Amino acid sequence: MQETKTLHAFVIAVMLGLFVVGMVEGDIVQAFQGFFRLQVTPARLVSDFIAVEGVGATLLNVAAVGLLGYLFVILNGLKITGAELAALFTMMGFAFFGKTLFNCIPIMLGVSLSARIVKKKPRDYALIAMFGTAMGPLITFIAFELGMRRIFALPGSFLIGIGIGIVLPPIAIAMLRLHQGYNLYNIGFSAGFVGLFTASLSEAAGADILPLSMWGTAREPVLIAIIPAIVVIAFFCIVAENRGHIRAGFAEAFKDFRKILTMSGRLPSDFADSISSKGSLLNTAIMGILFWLGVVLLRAPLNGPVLGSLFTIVGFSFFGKHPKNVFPVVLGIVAAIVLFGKDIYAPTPLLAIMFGTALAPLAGEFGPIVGFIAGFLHLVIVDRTGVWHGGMDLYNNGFAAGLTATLIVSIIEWYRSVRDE
Amino acid sequence: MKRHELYVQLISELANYLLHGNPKKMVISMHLESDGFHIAAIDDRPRTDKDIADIEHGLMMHKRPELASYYGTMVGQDLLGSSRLELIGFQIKGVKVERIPEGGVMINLWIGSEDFDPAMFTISQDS
Repeated sequence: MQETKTLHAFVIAVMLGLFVVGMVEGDIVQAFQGFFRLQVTPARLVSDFIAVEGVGATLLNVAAVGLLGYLFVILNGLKITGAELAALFTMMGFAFFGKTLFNCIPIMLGVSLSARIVKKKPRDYALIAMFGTAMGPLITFIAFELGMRRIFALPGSFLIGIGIGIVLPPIAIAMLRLHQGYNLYNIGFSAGFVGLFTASLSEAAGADILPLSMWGTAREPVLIAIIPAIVVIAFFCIVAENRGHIRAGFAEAFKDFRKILTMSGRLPSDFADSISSKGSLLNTAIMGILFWLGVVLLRAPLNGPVLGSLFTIVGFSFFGKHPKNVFPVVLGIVAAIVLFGKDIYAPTPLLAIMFGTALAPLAGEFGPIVGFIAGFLHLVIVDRTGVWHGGMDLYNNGFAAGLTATLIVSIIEWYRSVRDE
Repeated sequence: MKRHELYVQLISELANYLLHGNPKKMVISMHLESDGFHIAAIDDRPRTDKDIADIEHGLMMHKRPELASYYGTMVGQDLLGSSRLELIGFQIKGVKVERIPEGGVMINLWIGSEDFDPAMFTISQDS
């Protein structure tokens, strides 16, 4: 019970912190005006909301989308544990570059309706609904990019969002079986699949899906401080859970963190539920600070997409990622960047380093060499997949990771079955 | 058909778990009730107290409908990598793991609908 309270406190503190900073960072009126403008801004990949409307408006959007996810969890009567935190931080992370209240709500409603259609409760598909907001840009695209009259575009986009939500659960479940839980961003894989069809249909109907490239070079102090602040909140939560016994709290957290390092991370590995909230908070703090340090030392921009990727790492450090299983994958991606002479500061390679960690369970289950190969292949494929769905699937790396994981799992499965004969 | 699928998937995951220990003997029985079923799996592999605690921990009943209806659909579907007792844990209403006199372990699982009371099974959890 105390553990659940700690995790609630953690996520509420993060959301509240972002909201307060969003309001006081600059002019409060401009921040709110920018927040409302973001709701009607094209949201396809890559749309850096910080570059479009500034820090204040973006942080308000992140806090609002986080609150939407949090209320959804509470209204569905679910516990806040690793899976929910992964979903909440993914929602918040992508609200830096694509998710808005406007484009998330129809999908969440659609997935809940899908649950009703198959005589389940909306809470049964709550994770699919939250992760499924990856398809948000499609709604914004229909509403504001197609050039239709608003009177048709707004209800049309809403209905299509609900439709996408309805078909998402069966696709997500089918995709899960393809890679067998070795791609942490399964909805990214599923949404990429749906996005492929919707983008093709749109183009067949004569719509131009022009690539978007809003990639800011922000390195403002307030943005640099966000991840360290989240790490400090995590530390406070560890101490609070042990009623102020700092040393004992961290000793227990470290013991549990070592247990987390022995897990493969394959879906569903809920570290908070199966090990402890303390251990998973420490894992999150370590992972967050390691990747943040990487970005800072590289002197890469801390813009919307990069911050979004760091938020996703923070979230999935409760649900599958730890230093031991992400390291080989990151090494594989970096090796591919160097070998193929890619620019590490360009959006695709930089984001691949962060989001490619979706393949961490492959390293966790089959060892570092498989993890390295997975990372290497991921970088090669992620360059192409974004074009396939026209940037409609915000989790493009999840789509690419799903393809990579399916390839590797198929080969390992075949090899094991032949070897055992 | 839906029930039939669930029986097969749960038995498959459980069998996968037990077979990973290379037992010489493995028996799985299923007893159907009007609103649920009981699965008992027995093998002959000796286990330490820690092993049994690990099985119980893996099968620990989690009321996690959001995981059961999504990730739980992988139960019994894939046999690559280590078997995952937690996928079974999402679906069950009762569990009992015990050593049997012949060596090995007996895993009892009770599965039923949301309103099902495992205490109502004709084969009691104490038998």
